[in-house]
Amino acid sequence: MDRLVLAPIDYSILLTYTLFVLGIGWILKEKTKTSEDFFHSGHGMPAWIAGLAFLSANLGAQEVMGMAASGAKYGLMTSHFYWAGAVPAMLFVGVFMMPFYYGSKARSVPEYLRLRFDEKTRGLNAISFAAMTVFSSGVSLYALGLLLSALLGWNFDASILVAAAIVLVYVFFGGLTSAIYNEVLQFFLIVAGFLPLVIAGLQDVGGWGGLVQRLNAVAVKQGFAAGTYTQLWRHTGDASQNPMGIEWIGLGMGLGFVLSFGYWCTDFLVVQRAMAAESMDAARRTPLIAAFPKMIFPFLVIVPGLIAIALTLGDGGGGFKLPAKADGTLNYDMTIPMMLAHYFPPGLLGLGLTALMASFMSGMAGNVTAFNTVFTYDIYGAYIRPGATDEHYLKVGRYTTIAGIAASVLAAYAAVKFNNIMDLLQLVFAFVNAPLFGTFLLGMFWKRATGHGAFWGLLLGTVSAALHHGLTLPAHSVPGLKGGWLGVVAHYPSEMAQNFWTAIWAFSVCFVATFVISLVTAPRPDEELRGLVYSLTDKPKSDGRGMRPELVAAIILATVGALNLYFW
Amino acid sequence: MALDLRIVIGRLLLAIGVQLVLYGFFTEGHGASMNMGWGGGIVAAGVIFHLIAWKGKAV
Repeated sequence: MDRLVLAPIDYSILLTYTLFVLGIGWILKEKTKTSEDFFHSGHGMPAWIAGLAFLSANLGAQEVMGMAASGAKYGLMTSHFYWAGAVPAMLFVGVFMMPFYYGSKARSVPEYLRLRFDEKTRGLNAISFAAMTVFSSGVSLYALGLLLSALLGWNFDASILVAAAIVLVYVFFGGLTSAIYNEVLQFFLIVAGFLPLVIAGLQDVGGWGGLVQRLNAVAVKQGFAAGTYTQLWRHTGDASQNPMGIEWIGLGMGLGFVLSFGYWCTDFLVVQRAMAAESMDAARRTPLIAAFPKMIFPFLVIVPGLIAIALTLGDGGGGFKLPAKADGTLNYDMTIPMMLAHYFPPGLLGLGLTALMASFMSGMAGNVTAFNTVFTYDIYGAYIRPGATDEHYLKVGRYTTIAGIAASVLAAYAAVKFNNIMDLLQLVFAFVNAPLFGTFLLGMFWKRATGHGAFWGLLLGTVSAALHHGLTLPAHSVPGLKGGWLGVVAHYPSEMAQNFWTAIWAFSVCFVATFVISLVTAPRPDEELRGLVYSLTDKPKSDGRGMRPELVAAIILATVGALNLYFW
Repeated sequence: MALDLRIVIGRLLLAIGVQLVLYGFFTEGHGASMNMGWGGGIVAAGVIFHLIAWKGKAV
């Protein structure tokens, strides 16, 4: 793969962004005086800022580059991650779950679990979440180092150390506010950097009509029906009919329900942004505001993948080709960097790369802020030194930021030693988040659910995910990290299908186990559950500013339904 | 808020947009017009953020 050579203007744009990021941290240092400021932005975020941060916390470069790569590999069906998964989940958390998170005054998701269930359930979630965030942050850093060394020839060590140092400075001084501000900047950089890429690419393939025509030819060449790469549901009657290798029930239940709701409704990384909002109404509007741009994002991050595969495998040329890996298969992960290099002149190239680097750093900062909050409140404050002063917890939060970033750097170096660490990360998400959604669903909407039920349900859900993974294997894989390490009893057409069904198993076992164990253990009295369970909580009243959250959610749901129908 | 984010976004967009426009102005070819066109759009977006901050209430 040819390396890119940046012009001085590209470095200048990168430097401009870096100075803004560091400046924000420095200015906010004076305003961050209490642990409430550091961990929760003083609960003062307007809904629009919290909303864009809620969206951007998930827009790490792995997500951006990964979605473009999936677009190239699986076609427009990748939009299911948005139009069947994320958007409905965001509406659900905004309308139904946020009143409990915000109204319970919990400072974190694990703390809500303590209030609703018990200490052991909180501990289990806090430890697994803290480990997951450090791991995830490290993989983000590793991916950044890998991209910069492969694409620009920069030194791997220097790349990850400089990026870690920048994130450390702005989170150490400005805490969550600094991370949120930078996530919002990153959102605008991605729009400014990727919109011209989509337009230039579409011009190259002859507009949307030309793209569809080329992709139809690609689909037929691959042995699928024409339209497979540009339609969402029409080819999901059987797993063999589409490149994703999944049928509609696995897609709807695994991705649309369990994985998406598990992530958007229970992962503290995103929920923390809504909990920092200035009021209950603002907290409820946060995911709804995020849902609007989320609906449009497939056009920004998936369409480049469609263009890349249409130009690489379709008829009509265009001069762009995706690079191949050593084994001869296409390197889909390089879709975005290669398209930036192909379409952008010096100047815009600097903007595109800055948007990518902002995504890497924001992704890491999001993980670090969630980690320092959960560690300080739910591990240090709960088990190591409860009842200390606010000043003490603020100091611990800052030191935890240093420790979290140091651990991320170590995780990044550990990632160098393992080829498949990114696959492992995805697996860990499926193991942790999918059963957790079952716990929350019962915890928030069924007052009879008990702490013993929640704890054992979570554990059994995770164990069942491991068993399912250990007994199944995707096609063309060997037993090991991809599955089948206990013996192969079933095969899936693709890794994605295996992931979706692993999540369905984890959720279902957790749900049933929590339900059954709760029925045979003693429930807590109703008065202890007020504000924590749907049937025992007054419905939140709107502050009268703007449309009611329920109405906004209905409009978004109708729009996303229309998108599904249009691209059916 | 401690810092008006609308102003920060506006300043960042202006800083990047102006660089692109100037670079496009002093170079030639298709790349120059792309830089000037998109840079101009980014500058306009930066100005809009400043206007919103100036006209709207403080956040």
